[in-house]
Amino acid sequence: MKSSMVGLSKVLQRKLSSPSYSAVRYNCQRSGLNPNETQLEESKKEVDVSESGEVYKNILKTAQEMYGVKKNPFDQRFDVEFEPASPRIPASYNLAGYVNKSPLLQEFVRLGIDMSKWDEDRELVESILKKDFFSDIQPYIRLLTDYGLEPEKLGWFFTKNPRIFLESLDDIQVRFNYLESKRFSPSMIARIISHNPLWLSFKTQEIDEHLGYLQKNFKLTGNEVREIATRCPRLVTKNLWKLEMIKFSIWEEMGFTKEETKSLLLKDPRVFLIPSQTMVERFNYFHNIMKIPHQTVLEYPALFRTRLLRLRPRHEFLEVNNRHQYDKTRPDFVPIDQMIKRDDSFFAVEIAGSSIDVYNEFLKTI
Amino acid sequence: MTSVDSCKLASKAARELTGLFCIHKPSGITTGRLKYKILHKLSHELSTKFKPQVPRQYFQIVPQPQLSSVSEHLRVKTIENTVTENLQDVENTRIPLAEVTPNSSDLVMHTDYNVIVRPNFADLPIVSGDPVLPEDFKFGFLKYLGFNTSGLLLAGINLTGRAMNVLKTMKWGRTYQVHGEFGIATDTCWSPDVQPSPFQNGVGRVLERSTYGHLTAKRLEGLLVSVQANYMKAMLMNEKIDLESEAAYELAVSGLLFPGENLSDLSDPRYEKDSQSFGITDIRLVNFKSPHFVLELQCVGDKEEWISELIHDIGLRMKTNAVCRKIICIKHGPFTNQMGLLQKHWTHAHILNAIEDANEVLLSTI
Repeated sequence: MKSSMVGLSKVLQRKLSSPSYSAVRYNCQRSGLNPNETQLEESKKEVDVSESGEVYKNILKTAQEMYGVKKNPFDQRFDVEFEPASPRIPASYNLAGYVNKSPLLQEFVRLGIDMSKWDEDRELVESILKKDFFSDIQPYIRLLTDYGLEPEKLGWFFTKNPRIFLESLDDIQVRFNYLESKRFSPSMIARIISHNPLWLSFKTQEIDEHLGYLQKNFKLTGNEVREIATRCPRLVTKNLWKLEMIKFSIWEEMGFTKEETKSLLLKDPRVFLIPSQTMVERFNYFHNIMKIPHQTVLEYPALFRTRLLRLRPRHEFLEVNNRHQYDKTRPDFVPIDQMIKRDDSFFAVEIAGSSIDVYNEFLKTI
Repeated sequence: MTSVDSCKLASKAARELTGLFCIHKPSGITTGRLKYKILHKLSHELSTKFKPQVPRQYFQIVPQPQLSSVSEHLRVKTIENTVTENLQDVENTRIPLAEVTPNSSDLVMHTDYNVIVRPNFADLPIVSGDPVLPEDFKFGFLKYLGFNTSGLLLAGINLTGRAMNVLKTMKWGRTYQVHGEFGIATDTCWSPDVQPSPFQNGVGRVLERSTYGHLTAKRLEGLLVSVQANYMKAMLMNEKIDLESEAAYELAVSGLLFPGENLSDLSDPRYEKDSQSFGITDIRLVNFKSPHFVLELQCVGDKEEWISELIHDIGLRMKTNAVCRKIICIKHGPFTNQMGLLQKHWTHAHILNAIEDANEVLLSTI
């Protein structure tokens, strides 16, 4: 398990029962890092251990009496650390080994940052641990909150993008100035930051290229570009090569015109985040098999974002009940919005006209 | 509930899931991706259920060096602040204790030891990560299904290798329901409406078209009987019995025929089928509406490719072309399709129920 709980071997128990280490809890963890690189200053103190052993025993007794705690020194319910005689911090594969010693990480805990997701990146962690909260990190927090990021979202922001601490404040200020020069209002900037933390790690040149690509290829005005950047900021940081593949598949393979793609973009820009291969597979199903024409697809672009695992059995169940009518002109038509979005229970009862049990049995025959 | 108790409960819950259970596999996924999905779902669920609410206490003994002249008095003080459990009020509570002093009147370096009590940050899941990971489960399938087949899959959670080997020696045969269509031949032996798998050399392109008006159900049944007879003959030859004796008849009727092992020196996958590792014990026509037909296959040692090739061969022998539309696994030994868990039911509670149901079936066979 990835917790800080460990079982102690017999060899260690013998070592720790000697008078010098009588009550020290030595957390053994696998070594992944070089201990010399990640040593903190507090552990460098060296004190005579011979006298402190007896003093420590008295302290332990009184602490146990006060809190009514078990007298087993290896009780797993509390951790004790004797700083003058504590060993150096051992190397750990996890940031949990350093949390109790570094005030930096304790401040991160207060902000609510999920540090377990940084553990895979060794260089990141090594460079962040050396920093001081008040001098190195607080200016970043001030910058972001000045431009509209809510303090409740700071934790989420830094879990997604911890590399922002490795960039200089001047670069980030330049990127904000670029946005202001392109007439993004402060509420727009706040929304961009709070929905796409990776935007600020891209250079201004790259973002300029991406915005220019969108404007040229889809023939958008300035206001429309800004609207799309605020509604779906992840589109702007997407790989241009992949965007081209999606655009190619929409024009050539599916047969939409350029004006129709523009309307698709403005209606639901999240469609352009889907990889092109899955898009083509889904379009193949609901155009050739469900027989939905291009115009209804433009009205309901959520069709592109549903998985086939969800669409296919629902369509086949409607076929069995003879309710697969998607034309608005005819009576008894099925609104595609509600067919896709809602639960199985809603679908089975109100749209198909039968119960969930029948639908579940039907699913097992597909 | 402390963090230690929660970790123990989580590990217990992860280990209590032991046994065989049935899954309903949807078409369009590989079995490897299925395993990934199930284990990630389970680990997320269990780690949210058993989140630790109260972190452990962390005692820190800190020296306060003080230069002082002879001091013969004892300093005993009472507790000033109580221990706080809120992370926001992490004020160090200082509990000064009794001091042991020598009797001489020389200058002595006295040290005050203060005990600091605060919550242990290493127990928070933010820092140490989830208590249950998908790697903590042992998961294995008895037999695999192909990309486009759907139906029953038997899987074992936390079963040892020996238990799985015992189950594999049972050599349960599988029954399939195969939906096909006459008149078309493609790259792969699947119809062009079906999603092509990424592991196949083919796209689903139509190569030939032919007429099917001359087909009747009687002719088909005659063909299927002859196909079945050929495979049964090959399986009986392995047993080295006279084909015209009563013992051979009884064996064939009972359904306990198995194909021989692959004894050829050539380990080429092209010759696997010829060396009779694939054996059919029963074929039946269930439905026939002129181009579409439905078969029921009972076989041992099968792969998805060989079944689709079988249908291609059937089409050629009837002087037309045939293509697969669906392959559904209905039975695997004593288990049926109705016991399979759907994708929305891949949760902790549902899997426990499924294991109980499967155990009842297993006990009835033994």
